[in-house]
Amino acid sequence: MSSELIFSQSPVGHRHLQNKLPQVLRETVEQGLIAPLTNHGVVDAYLVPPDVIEAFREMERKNSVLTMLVAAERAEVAIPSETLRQRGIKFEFDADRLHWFTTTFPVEITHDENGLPLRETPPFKSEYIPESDFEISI
Amino acid sequence: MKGWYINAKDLYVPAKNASKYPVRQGDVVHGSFLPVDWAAGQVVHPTCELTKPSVKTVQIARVHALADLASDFERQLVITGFRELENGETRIDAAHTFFLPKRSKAQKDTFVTFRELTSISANHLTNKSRVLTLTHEGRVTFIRRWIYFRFRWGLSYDEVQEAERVRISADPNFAGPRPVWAPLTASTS
Repeated sequence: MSSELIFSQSPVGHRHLQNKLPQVLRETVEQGLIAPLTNHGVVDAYLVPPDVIEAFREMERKNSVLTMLVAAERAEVAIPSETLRQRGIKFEFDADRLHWFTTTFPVEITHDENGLPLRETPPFKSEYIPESDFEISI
Repeated sequence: MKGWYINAKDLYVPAKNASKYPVRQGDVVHGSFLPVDWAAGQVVHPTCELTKPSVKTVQIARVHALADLASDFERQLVITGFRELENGETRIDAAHTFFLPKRSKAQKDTFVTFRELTSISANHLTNKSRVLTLTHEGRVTFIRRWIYFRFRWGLSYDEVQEAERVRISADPNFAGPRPVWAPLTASTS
């Protein structure tokens, strides 16, 4: 996706959206356009294509990783980083410093070991369940 | 999700206080009861099982010296539990390991491989055979990593700690010092 945000030429009114939703979607977000939603001429929301939101998330993630890389470079800590390796930035391995960095810097892990994005787990409530004393015979 | 580990000084109970704590999941033991080529073994058996009379054997995972790995890159992966890729990803790595940083300069860094398991007699789990005692917070980090390895379930530190809090707070027979975050609550039975 282009980093440029492309806006629809004409805003979409509430009533028009309500009456012509499929048409509005076809003419705006399906064309990659961001459309201002207006009520009596005042913008109160935007229709945004899903890939724009995904691009924002990606930028946010990269920003977090970039912050970590800058911190590692400044602290001269050898972290397992493809970005630093490809740029020829190399520090001597020091287990103590790496452990210190890993436990001090708020590292954000974004993907599982197969490269799939980590999803937020649905909230769950822990509940205490007493164990039974019953034992099977094996 | 945030990184895996806490600082070494927060991970272990000081040796002089260890005897106040019963042997629990995550503690590290050493002795002739382990296979001869094992540096040590980490208790991976659930804590609530360890005191049951019917439990005769307990599950132990192998501890290696960090120096045994073939490269510094592998050592990096074990210490961090992730790697950074150029496309903006930080990806979980070496999920079958748990890093055990040295407690003092006289010791060596070690790590556990969850893929290498054995069973030992429960009688060998004693304060004498225990060489590292995890703090309650350290055990939360261990359980979090263990759950990820066994079930590929990426829980946060806070979620695992909350599950531990609920369990410990409800247990009037909890042995040893309680975590400050899990005081005993009134019995619900």
